[in-house]
Amino acid sequence: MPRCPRPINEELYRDEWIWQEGEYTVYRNCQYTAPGCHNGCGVLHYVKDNKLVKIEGDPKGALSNGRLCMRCLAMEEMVNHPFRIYNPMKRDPAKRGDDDAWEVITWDEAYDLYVEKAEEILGKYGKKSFCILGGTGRNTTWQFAALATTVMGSPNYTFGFLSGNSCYVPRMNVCFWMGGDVMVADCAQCVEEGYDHPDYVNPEVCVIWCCNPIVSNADGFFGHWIVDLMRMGTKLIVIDPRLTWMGAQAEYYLQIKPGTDGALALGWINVIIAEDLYDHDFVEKWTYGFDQLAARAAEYPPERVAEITGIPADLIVASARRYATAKPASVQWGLKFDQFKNGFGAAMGCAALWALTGNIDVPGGNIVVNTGFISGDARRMFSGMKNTAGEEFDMTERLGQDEFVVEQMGLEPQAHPDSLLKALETGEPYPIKFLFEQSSNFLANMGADPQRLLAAVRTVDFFVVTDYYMTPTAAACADLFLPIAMSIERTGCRSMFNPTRAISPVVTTNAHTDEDIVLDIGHRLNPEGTPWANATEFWEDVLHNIRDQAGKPYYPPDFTFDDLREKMYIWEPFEYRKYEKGLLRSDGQPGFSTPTGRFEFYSLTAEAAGGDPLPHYVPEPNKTADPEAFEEYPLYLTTGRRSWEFFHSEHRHLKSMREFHPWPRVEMTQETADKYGIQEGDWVLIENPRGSVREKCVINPSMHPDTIMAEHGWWYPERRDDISGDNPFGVFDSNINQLVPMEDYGPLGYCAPYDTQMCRISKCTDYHPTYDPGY
Amino acid sequence: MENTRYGLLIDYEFCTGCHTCETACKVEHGFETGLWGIQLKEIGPQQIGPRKWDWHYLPAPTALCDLCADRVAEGRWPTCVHHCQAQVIEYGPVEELAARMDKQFMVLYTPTA
Ligand code: SF4
Ligand code: SF4
Repeated sequence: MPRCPRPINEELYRDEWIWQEGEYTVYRNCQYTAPGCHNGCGVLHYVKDNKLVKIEGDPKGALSNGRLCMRCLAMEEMVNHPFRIYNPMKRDPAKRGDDDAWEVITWDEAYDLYVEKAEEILGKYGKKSFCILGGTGRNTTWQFAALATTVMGSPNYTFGFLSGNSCYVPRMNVCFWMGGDVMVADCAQCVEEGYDHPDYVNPEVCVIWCCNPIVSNADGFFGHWIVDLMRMGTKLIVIDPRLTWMGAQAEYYLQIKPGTDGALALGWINVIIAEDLYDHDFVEKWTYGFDQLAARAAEYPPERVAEITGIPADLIVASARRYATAKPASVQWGLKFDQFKNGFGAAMGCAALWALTGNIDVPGGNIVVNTGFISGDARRMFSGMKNTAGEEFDMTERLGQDEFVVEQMGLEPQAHPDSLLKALETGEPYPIKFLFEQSSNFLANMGADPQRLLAAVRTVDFFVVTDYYMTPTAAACADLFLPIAMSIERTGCRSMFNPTRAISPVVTTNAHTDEDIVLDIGHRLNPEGTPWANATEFWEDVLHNIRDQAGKPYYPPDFTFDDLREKMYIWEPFEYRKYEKGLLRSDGQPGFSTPTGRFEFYSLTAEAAGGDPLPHYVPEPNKTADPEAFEEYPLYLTTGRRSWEFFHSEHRHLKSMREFHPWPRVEMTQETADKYGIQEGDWVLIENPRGSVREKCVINPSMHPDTIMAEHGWWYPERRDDISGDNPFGVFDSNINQLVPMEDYGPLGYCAPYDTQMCRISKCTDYHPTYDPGY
Repeated sequence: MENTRYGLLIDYEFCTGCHTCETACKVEHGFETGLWGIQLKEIGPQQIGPRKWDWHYLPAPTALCDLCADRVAEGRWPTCVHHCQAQVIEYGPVEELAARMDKQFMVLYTPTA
């Protein structure tokens, strides 16, 4: 963990987890959704009369040591927001989309209705006709699995229509298949001493690929760690279709055409092998399939890669040399590998580079993390259990089993989102009639082709939405609304990747946590499968069941949740070069947890699943491949780059964030804007054959003129008079996913083209919304 | 020492433009929409050579900056100093801060009267 760079006032910033300071009770805590993000930063909550009054970063906190982003700083506004909902509501399914039809009910009435509907619908169509939809990396990543399987007896839980499971799932599988475990750029985040750890080495070079980590903070990775590294001397190579601040500071900035990253990875591998810059010792001792990799990469000389990627050949060669000769070097990769159809092959190429250069699990390289998956530990408390009928659980009927080999092989822990849509639309392989949505808002975000989704979900008999305020999805589809607790009201644990920390409730409201909801419904439908009286008891059981590689429990049997709170941070042991020490495989042998025991350039798992076993590149739709089709839609459309102010579709209802960022932004070069008669600040109509949206033009001087970037997740919570009907909160005015298809995923069912659509733009003259926050 | 002048030293080479200082300052002082105690200015992006870019952010305290007098009296750091995600803002006597200006892209502010 990094340290606070200046003296800390020990009176004001203490080691205890709770103290009194004048009129405030102060809690040291962990901020972990809702609202987003993935990090779990250390915060101080100042509470008076059961109300959060202010928040500060905890200078003694692990991960960010006092630093906070603007969204956390607005936490008081967020959690005390007048648009929040605290009481359950029901509505006649015939009146979906009618905001006047809601009736406020008690939690007992809500649960009674839920049980009645479960018995009626699942009795008629079978338990598997239930499916639960989840969101991204939030504090619900085990709850949705528990509720679907153990409580409802259905194998079906999945992302909220995230086509091709296209968020981290593909990259995690690349890591598992090639290297046996998840790998991440080392910023000393797994060791308590942080940058002062005796073994830690600052990377000479860090490659930022398919992400902008300072804004996105994805997957437990605090992006400003990279800035720490830069200040200690690390040089950057940034690969991105748009210049970012990081790209401008980089030694090499590679402006890549969207969706061609697989070719670049193979081009780098080509240079590194041809110039003999690879780590012979590591490759010989610890890898499998080098010759096949070399043969594949030989097809990608720099000139060919330059033509595909748009990056000059000399720059490809120079940057490949820089990465390969820097010791150590790391790659921080991101979401965009998952969001074009051939992204899986590109991610394989990226991971292959870490091994080829001997940068795996070395200090300052890409470390193997096998700690910190506490949501997986929580999930395991349910998966071995019996379903509501007392039978051992059978996953073979899960949606996607009939279509995807990876599902049949048990390589996927959840149902396939595209198969869910098919089942809703066709009733094949069986009907889905009861949907439950948790921490997602698919009409605004994540789901592609949302108008199609809206029609599909309205075919179900019962739809439950849990959220902390009214969303477009709940407004249009829900029959039962269950208000959920926000972070400061929750009991939980966060650990990705180290250390483990407690999430403690500091105020109480009538909203329930997702844990409560799973247990409350479980107590009614499968009491044997949910034996915990409350979330604290559950989490203590989870901790007692965490074991090290040798099967020894980490926590003594009398360890309590209060102990975790009092300790604040519990660091699991972490070592570098675990593959040399027998710390990765269940048999205790050296090597990686793969079929060959080696890091597999040639993945036997990918081969068994019917996929390409090597890193690969497949052209996506592009102008060179199909000149005619793109005459009408001449621009590359990329979507989904992060904003400081928002976590996906969240935070649009905060006037503080909207002051900084009032409207959705579409970025393009001045040349492109001029060509279409658009000026900075104009509303722009972005269209393709699937749909059209409106966003405001921002000039980005350093993009390719062929490429635009349009923001995702937009809706207008302030449009409170516009909740009823088929365009709730104006979501279809600006949700860019209307231009993205469902069911157009990549090989094996992984990755989807959220980032590689074609479009056209024009000045939008008939759209002039004004902003009034409504509070 | 009563006459010691205090200021903010900012190493804007590594300011990422994250808006934390602006937000922290607004929340701390309860500034309404449109009012700022510190404001971020963008420099560039401009291409200053083949494959070389200049793109920085420069946070600038306004006339409303009181160097977080209440916080400092309580023994805290100014909130922008405490929360800056790149940890590039330091608070202290200007002489001490000036002595630390030993690199490119640093600026020393003396916002209070
Ligand atoms: S010192 Fe305090 S008042 Fe001045 S800019 Fe920073 S946060 Fe605002
Ligand atoms: S908080 Fe720090 S990094 Fe963020 S904008 Fe302000 S000075 Fe820059």
